[in-house]
Amino acid sequence: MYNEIVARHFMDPMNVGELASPDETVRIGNAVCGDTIIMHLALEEGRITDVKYRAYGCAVSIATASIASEYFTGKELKELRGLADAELAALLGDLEPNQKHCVDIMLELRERACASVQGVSGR
Amino acid sequence: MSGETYFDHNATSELDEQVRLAMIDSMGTFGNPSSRHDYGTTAKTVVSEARDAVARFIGCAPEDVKFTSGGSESNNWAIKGLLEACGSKGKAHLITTVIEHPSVLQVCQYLERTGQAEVTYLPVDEAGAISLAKLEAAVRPDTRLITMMMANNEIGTIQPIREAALLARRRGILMHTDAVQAAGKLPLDVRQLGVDALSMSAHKFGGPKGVGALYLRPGVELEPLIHGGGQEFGLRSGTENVIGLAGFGKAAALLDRAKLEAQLAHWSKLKRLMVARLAERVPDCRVNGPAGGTEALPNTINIGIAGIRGESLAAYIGVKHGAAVSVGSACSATKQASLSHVLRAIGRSEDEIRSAVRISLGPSTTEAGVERLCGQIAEAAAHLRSVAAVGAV
Repeated sequence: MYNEIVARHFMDPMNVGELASPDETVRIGNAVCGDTIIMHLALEEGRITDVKYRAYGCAVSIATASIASEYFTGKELKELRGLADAELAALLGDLEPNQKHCVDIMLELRERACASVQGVSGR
Repeated sequence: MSGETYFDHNATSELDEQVRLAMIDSMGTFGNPSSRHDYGTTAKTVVSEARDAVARFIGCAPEDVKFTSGGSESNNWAIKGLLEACGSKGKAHLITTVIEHPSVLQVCQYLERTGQAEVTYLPVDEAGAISLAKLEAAVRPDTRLITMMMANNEIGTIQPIREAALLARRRGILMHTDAVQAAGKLPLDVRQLGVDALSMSAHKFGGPKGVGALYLRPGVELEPLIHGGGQEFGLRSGTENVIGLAGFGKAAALLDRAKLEAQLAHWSKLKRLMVARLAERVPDCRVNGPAGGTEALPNTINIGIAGIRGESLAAYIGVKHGAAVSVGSACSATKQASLSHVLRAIGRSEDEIRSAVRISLGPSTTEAGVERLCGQIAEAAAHLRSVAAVGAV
């Protein structure tokens, strides 16, 4: 029903919370499912140095936020942007058909994070 | 897997041990019930005994019971078969409710789509109950059938079937009730109810899956479902599911009136305990459906916990404690919302439906089990609220 990675991150999510003064805030939502993730990012010279988030949604979407927060932390933006979609999707492990919408959540988190960071670094 | 952590008895029940043994015993009976030799006679006896037991269970004569593959088949057959047999070749009118099981609603939609019937879907109030005045107002000169569930599977609301059947009889309309969720949870007496047809399923009360029955009042015409060798009084041909029927008959025989009354009293106590405990331990927890005045199944509790997804709560207590409950909304592979039509019908918002969890008690549920589950739900709610985005950032 839930693979081991998802179960671990859902039951004990990493990096839950908010940053006192985030450099960027990424907010994604799915009007159909009602999933909402608000992610705070701290940035330093093209690198994500800290990630916190709050998540409301199904078990897999909460796990996705946790997995993303863990993976994004410490990553160079260039590296994150250059990752193949399949590599990011693989971080979630094997998903059942009704859980696959969380791959879109993962990709959107990456896209929004990179887009917002691009804005910061472009200044 | 332990039955102690199972709180989804409205989905299906645990197979009763005596039922299991009866089924195993019947496996030695391999004859075809239609054969005239001893092997056939032995198998036919299993079928006849099952029919007798089911007939006693619902208060009718054995020949009024037609065996089927379960509740969905019984519902499909009753609606299509009654309409067809009462001569509505053209467009007939039928009345149902917005909170029926899909095996009723989708048949109605099929009949509308194919131009065979016009359907009135009666609304329900916040407790899930229909209004008899609205039912009476919906009757038209061409109304042929009323089909209404006896007890709702999601929120437990019990409809006034006897009164609806009286109204139907007065107006010359056929009355069918889907009693799949009521059987084994409420006393059933088809003569008292006054219905023309009633659907039931074995696996909801300790019997096996894949077996059910349709009660048909004597004298009511029903179009055959399967033409062939003439089994089930010529209405549903096909060699009988002897092993399944041995289990169905045993499950029905085991549940006598006294046992059922004791069960109902036990569930009522547990339901009161659970509602009180959840109110104490889980902030912003609300009961969906009947509370107080409206009649409801004593084993069914539907709650919504503000700010969290029911699916996540079910996942948390499932992974951590092995607890099994049901939810009002689930993600689907098509990215379409799969939201409970019943909760929608009683006026719940999408967020409220997403937060819904159904707990349904069974014969094995204990007070200690209910206390444990309440603690697990409180723990899961606190955990999920600590992670949730709503109002937090």
